[in-house]
Amino acid sequence: MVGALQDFGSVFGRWRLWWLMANQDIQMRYKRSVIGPFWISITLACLMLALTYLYSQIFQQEFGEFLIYFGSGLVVWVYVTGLILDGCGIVLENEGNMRSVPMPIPVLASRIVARNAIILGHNLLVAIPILMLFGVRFTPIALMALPGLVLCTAIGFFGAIILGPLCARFRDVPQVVTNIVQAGMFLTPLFWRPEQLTDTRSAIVDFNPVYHLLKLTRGPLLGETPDALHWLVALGLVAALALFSFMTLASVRKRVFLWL
Amino acid sequence: MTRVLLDNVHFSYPVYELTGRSLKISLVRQFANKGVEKRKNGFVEVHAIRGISLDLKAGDRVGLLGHNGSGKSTLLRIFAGVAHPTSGRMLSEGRVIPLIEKGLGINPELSGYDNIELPLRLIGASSAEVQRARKSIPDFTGLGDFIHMPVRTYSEGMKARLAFAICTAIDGDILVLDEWLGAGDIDFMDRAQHRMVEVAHNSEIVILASHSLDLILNVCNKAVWIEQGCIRAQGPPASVVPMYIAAQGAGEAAHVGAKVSTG
Repeated sequence: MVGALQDFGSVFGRWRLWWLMANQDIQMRYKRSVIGPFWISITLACLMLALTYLYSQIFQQEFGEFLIYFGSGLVVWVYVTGLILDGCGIVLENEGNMRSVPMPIPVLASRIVARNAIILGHNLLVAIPILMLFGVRFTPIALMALPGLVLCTAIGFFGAIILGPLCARFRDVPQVVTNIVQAGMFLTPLFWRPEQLTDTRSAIVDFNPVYHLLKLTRGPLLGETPDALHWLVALGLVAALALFSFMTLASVRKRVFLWL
Repeated sequence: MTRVLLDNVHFSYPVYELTGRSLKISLVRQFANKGVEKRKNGFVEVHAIRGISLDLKAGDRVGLLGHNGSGKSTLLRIFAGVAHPTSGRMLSEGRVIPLIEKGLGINPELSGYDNIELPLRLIGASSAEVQRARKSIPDFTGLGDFIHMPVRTYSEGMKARLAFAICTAIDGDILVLDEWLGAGDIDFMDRAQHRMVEVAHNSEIVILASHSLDLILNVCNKAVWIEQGCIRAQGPPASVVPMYIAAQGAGEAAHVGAKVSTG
């Protein structure tokens, strides 16, 4: 118990370590490229425009309208799923370090949170101008997306502490998570709107946590004030994950070395 | 007060990959002698440390000796706080500097200079220590302008110099070392040797695992001989090392002799 608390505390004490690692991660991904991390922004812009071009025709919607809906959702989707997928790897990608120096798991979780937050920053840099170009007017309501993003971040952080050790112990879990995330891209109201579904709505919309996160982030960007329900779901999820990650950490912190 | 205490420490680890593969299980059994046990639910477990008790105080310079697979490295990882005892008590007071893997945290794409911070942060350096290391390391390594070139362009000797300079840049109370960190080329060896002695001197407790019996005789004031996860003998190096040599078979003795001369 005390050990798990100390591990969480090291997130503050050793912030320079995870911040440095996250920055090196980004630097390495785009090493020796001329524009470096701005490829992140360009990649997102391409995906946004290409998929909008296709799906606006399939769904028979106006290009700009669809782009705003889909583009704002995509930014959030990329952030949340990036956190989940990277969260699976926190123990495995640090195997060498964990064999040689004591490495508290929350520090490793912070590394992937910081890495994904940097990517989010680059993505917003291109997404916001594009959305504005197609007519989004950012009202003060849009600022309500910020607490929504903070909740996504918290979910990613606590989720990584649970997923990382789990994926190290059971090497099939990362594959399961990848599949869920891949299918989830189409099963989450990202391209389509919940109203378009009739009988299956509750199963894949109301019980889909990412739907509520989208309502808290994409909603304000598009000028909607989120309902209390979405806040409750997201806060409840954060609380549950925080508790569960603490329990996970307390039980695995001494054993995770055995699973490397 | 700096202190490290192990009280009847046991450590076993499971080998999951071997589940259900009898050929590999038998190979491992032969390799690690009697340390391998099969659990009820199928996976193999290696009992690497079997009831070790040690009480180390300031001034102790401990040399661990033993064959490959005797449990030396595992024991070192327990001292470093990386592995935790399966049962028994482990207590350590003081700042531990774990130098188990040479070149930890060094990124070949970055320059030598940009590689100073991460390895130091990994072993727990403060910002002040990183700053100091940034000033001292370029001169100490003698890499000149190469310090600003990517490490992948370095020769092995240059890499060894950099890794050595980085991991000896900070001092702690308890130094945990897997093999003495000698660094490559001849003109650097003296400087490295000098620095290593200094670091060991600044640490209150040194725990060193080495195949070099010479080194243990020269540097350590206590030797612990580990065999099959237990302490076979401990005491002053001058008495433990000859026992260790005597216990080797004829072929083994030649092997140890070769190690001494290269170490």
